[in-house]
Amino acid sequence: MSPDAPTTEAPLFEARDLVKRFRSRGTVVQAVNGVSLRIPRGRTVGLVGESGSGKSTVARLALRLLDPTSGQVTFDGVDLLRASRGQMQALRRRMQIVFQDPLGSLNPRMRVLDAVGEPLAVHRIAKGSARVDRVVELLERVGLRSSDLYRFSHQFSGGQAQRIGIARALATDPDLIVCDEAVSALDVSVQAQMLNLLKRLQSELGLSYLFIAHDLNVVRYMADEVCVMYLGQIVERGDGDTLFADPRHPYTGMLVSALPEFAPERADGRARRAVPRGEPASPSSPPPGCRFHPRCPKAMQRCREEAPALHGVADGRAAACHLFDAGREASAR
Amino acid sequence: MPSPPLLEVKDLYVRFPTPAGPVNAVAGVSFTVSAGETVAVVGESGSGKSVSSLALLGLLGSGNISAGSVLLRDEELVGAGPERLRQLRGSELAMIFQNPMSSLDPLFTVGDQLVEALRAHRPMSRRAARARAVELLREVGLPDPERRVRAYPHELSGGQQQRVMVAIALTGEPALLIADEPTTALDVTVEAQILELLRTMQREHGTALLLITHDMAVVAETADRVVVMYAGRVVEHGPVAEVLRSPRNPYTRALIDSIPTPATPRDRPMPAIAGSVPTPAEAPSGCRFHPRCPSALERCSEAEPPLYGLEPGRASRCWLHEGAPQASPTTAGEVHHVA
Repeated sequence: MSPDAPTTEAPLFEARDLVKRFRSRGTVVQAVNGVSLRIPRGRTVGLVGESGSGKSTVARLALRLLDPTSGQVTFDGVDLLRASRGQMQALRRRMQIVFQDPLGSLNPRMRVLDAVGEPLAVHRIAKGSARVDRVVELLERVGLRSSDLYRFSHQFSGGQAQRIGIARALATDPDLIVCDEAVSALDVSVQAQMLNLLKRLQSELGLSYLFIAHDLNVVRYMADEVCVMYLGQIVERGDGDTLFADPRHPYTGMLVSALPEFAPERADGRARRAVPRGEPASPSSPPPGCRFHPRCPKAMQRCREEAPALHGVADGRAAACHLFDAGREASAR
Repeated sequence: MPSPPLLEVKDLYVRFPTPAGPVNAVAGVSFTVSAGETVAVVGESGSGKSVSSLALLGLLGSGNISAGSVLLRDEELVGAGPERLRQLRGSELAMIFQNPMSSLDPLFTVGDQLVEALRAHRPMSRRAARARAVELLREVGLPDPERRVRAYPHELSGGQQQRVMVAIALTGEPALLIADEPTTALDVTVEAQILELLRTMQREHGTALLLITHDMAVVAETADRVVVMYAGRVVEHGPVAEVLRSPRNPYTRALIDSIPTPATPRDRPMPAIAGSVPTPAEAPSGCRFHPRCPSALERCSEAEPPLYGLEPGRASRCWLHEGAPQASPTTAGEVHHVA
């Protein structure tokens, strides 16, 4: 958080109307369909959605690990899709990613020194003893020790390995880190450690996060703004507490009520949750109109024919649903 | 106890060979499951919860069970022949796993696999088995069962595949269904549906359910009793509502506290447990949780506490309860005084 940043300041990261289609064997998969995001400096924007919602594709588009079919991505005022190779390389230092499976994303034959120090070599930041010093500093920052320098990643538990992944992401002193299900594979006690670490690093280093997860509770805890995705689109966005307390989009409502009610202090009987109907359609054959209409308890005739746009529904909140069409159109933020 | 339990696991030890010598992944685990009851075994990775369930199904090979007893309706399963175990699996016992795609045969239709399972249990014509297969698919809530019976597993979603697994498990009308992380690979909206299906199945068939999971929230809404495991040991057990409301073991308390809920304050650090679960080979001396325990005393590193019986049906393994009677290693819930 950076309380001194005025709200009118240009965001660190902005995506407008991102579309990504994949072609495979004659079918077209619409993975992302018109997603816009804005991440202010020092802030966290959360993306939550079920499998097939397109959230991981958004992560890759944001870092330009994939090129969008259409749309615009700007980082610190630079249009990433028009950036030269040199510009792009300089920008890559400033945007990093942490993946779900730390052991799968670290080379098992590399020692910690090389795994964490590799970005320093790639970007010609430090070598020799300067590199070792920098890696030790990074390890200590994420709660590892200098005695870990010459161990291999497979000698670490999942949580420790994810600390290595985070140290590696921090090596180039980035401004933005995309966390793609970065805590999802961890045991719950270790997950809590990692959430605390990410928040501490944010306040120490002024990082911005695009924090992606399928667990709404985790995203709410981490994010200043939560975006709910369904089949390639953001269907609702707003403050996490408000989304929980007063979901506007029927899908957000379904997601919130499908969460197991876990309030041990109130567990006098057995907790029960609402059982949603249906399963998400395939992104290769999304339903016409609103993509959620086949599962929506409030679907109207219009929902079968016409896709709703994201509309402002209250202060800082927007929902893509015909129920709110009377509202003012959300600015393209 | 009103009736003898359907399943009684007594002081089970499961040993694995490692380059550094044999280690116990499960050390002295005891619990019971009564007919029609749902018991959850909950723990983080490395707790031994899945190893326990595989061991009692006879799926580890009996050589790995180094001590203990598994009684199913008073029949000893430890040391039972492979043929007898095979008979029991699918009739008295059935199981579903986390990843249905790896349990289903990709080369055969859902109907073929159900027909095969049905005819393995009792002699029936192919046509009758086919009809029963459609009926079972309808019962587990698969939409359009007449058509889906001809589908291959890959043509179904993860949730639908798990429904098929439940249908296959039901073919033998088992008394006990063991479900190992049955919803872990599923999205939250689909998870809710599968848990609802398991509850319905239990209500209608009186099947007992042994649920193995890492997820306390799943335990909260599904189970009657919970067994909490840590590093191969049972550290606490009792009725779910009571254990969740007032956990007695420091590990259970810490585990519950570290789960984010809609009420977790966003401006404060999450309560977390330092460190990580030790591997069986590096299990610490004394209480296995003591290096991570906020309440650890000096003696916790020296001697391992026994499981103490607390209120009726509850037990916890912690020196904090010293003076309480020790819980019987045989019957979860019963306590007896040690002379």
